[in-house]
Amino acid sequence: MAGGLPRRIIKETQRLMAEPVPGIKAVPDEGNARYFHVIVEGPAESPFEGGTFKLELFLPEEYPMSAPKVRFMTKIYHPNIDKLGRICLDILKDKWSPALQIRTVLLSIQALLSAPNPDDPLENDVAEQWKVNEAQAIATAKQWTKMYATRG
Amino acid sequence: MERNVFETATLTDSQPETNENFEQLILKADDLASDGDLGSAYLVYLRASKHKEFKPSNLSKLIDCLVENLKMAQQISNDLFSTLTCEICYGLLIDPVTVDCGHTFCNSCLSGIVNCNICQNVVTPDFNRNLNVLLNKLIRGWIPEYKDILDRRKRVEALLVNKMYNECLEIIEESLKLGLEKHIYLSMRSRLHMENGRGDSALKDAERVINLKPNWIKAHYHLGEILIQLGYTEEAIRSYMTGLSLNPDNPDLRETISQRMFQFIKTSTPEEALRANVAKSSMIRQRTHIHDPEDSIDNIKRKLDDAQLPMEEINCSLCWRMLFEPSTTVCGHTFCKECLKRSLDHSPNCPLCKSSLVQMLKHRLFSTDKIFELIVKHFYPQQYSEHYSELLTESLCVSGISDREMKVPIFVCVVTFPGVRCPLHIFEPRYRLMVRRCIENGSRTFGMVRPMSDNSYANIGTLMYIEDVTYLPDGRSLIITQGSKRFTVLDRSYVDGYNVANVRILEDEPIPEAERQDTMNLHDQVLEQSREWLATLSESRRSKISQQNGDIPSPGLTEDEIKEKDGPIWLWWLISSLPLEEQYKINLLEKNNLTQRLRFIQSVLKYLSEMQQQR
Ligand SMILES: [Zn+2]
Ligand SMILES: [Zn+2]
Ligand SMILES: [Zn+2]
Ligand SMILES: [Zn+2]
Repeated sequence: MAGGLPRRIIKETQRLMAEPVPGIKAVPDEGNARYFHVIVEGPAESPFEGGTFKLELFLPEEYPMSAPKVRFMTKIYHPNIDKLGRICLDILKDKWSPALQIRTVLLSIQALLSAPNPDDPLENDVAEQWKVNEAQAIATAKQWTKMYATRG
Repeated sequence: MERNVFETATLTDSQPETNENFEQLILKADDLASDGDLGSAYLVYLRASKHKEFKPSNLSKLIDCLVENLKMAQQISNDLFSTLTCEICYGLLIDPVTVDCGHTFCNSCLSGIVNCNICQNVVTPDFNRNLNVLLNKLIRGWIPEYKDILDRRKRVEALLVNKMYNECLEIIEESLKLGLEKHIYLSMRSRLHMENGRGDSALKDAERVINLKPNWIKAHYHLGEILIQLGYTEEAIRSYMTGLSLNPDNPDLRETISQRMFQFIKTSTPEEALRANVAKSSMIRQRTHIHDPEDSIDNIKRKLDDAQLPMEEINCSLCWRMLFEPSTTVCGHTFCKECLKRSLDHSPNCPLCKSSLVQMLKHRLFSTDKIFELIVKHFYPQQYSEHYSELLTESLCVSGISDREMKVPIFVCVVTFPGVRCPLHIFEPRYRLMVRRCIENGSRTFGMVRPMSDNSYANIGTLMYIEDVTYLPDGRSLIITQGSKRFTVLDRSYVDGYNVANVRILEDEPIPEAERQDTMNLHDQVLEQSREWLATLSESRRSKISQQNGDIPSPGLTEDEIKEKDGPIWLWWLISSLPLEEQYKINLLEKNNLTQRLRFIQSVLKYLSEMQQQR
């Protein structure tokens, strides 16, 4: 590939390895340095506590001018994450700025798990449930976490 | 030489002779001035001044020559301290603000400034400029006295506005004792003296200021003003002139000098004029010479010699590398110029603070921040030049591998042809970047290919030369391109979101001598048939074609053209204008044989003509 990997991506990767975000592991794929295998621990005191969630993060050719593409691989019951694992997060869309970085994205996703935002939903059913009966929603989320995000 | 002039110049020489032609007088005086004979020139200007046509602007040549004579060997010091000096107040940059041209001044010095004091470029008035965030942080870090300097200036300013002169004087005296930015406070005290009618004290301070800062234009100007008020017109002019010699393009100073000289020459006698010959070195008035040590400033300078700048501090937040060709936005954030432009291709807001940069984009203001460039080069000279050569290879555009093979950026859009014009609207961020790089590195060339259904692109394309670019206010652009050589794609890759490819130039096989006449005949037939086809088209259809492809290039085929590697251009124009499936057009582009192309087109034209008749 002409031009090789931009120096910024190399530096970001090095920094993520040297000083990882607590509770998050992001490892570049052996065959493709733009593809990261991400594991996020469910934040304490959230319905996702105790779970480990697999995500994939991909840096498109135009990164950092365009945002990384991130997706949950592990099933999760969350108003801002849909069945396909797509995440509704403003900085991954119109609020992206090239001054942000992989680290900021990961931190934001962690924050989103701590504080689901049913007013800006991606998965309408889940959001509805979250608004109508939060206790029930949280219970479901905990159940899903146990079912899908807890290793054997 | 000059002495001679004064001895031989007699009073009769300068009597007004009304029969002399005014224009000729000025020309003669200008000539004398250009030859360096300023004494004689002066007398002739004086004669001209008795004519009623005489205007200040007639003295512009004289002023040029005087300035040339006075030009001081300006010390250009490259130490960090002079880099951090404001060209307007000649003090430390306090609350630095970077303007359109990339020069930086104190925020308070900028009020009322219409043109940059250094390069005369316009300082757009309706921009809401923020402090240069990073520079401000660095200066504050390097100079512990910063806050004190800032407070003093602010306090004095406020007191002056409120006309509290006594309190003002207290701060001035205190600052002078400290030796902190003495020139600023002496200059202020000089003004206060003047306002209170103490001309001599004012003069003394004004001269001390010049001793301290001989290159400070404002000081010479200020001295000139005092001298005028005290009635020393000749000396005043000399002082203005010295100021002007420091920046001969300063329009305000030039205007003042023209006016003052005009008044002076008009009202003076020849003897006075001679005496006042400002170019004569002996005329420099004996100045007050006071040794003015600037203790604190010397301290600061020494400290700055050991100043440190960790590279992280000057990293661009977009590419994570040391700032290269730094450019500071109106919101005060600094990025590499190239990084900023790329970011603006995607969004018209500052990547750091999200302020709208639409105005900046509209005026295409991407000047290098001069001070930052100096700072970065000062601390990391080698890295800066290494970065430069790396960038050259990264911003790859056309680069030759051999004369028949090269690497080119690829624009995936339509089929284009040699010699045929193609206007394009560039809006996708990746193509904005590609086109900008083509323009900036001077190649102005990219390869154009047609997209294929499987998300890839055709194997055959045409090199396009960018003839003209019009930028729209939002960063999109309209470009006019013209096709040149055809090429075959050898291998494909990406750079920063757009395609690049190694390509091999594709050219026609030479036509054997024996077949040339046949090809010429075939060509003439096809030309005739294509004219017939063009004649059947509606007016609107024809104007649409010429809008897209330009007018038909001079048709015909000469002995030379038959040997051309792309054949006659008009044929490509025709191919581009014919209602053909794109795939056929690509096939024609690929044919490296003129005769075959002509045959194919002949059959197409025949088909079109039959269709026409059936109708
Ligand atoms: Zn200033
Ligand atoms: Zn300037
Ligand atoms: Zn940069
Ligand atoms: Zn900003």
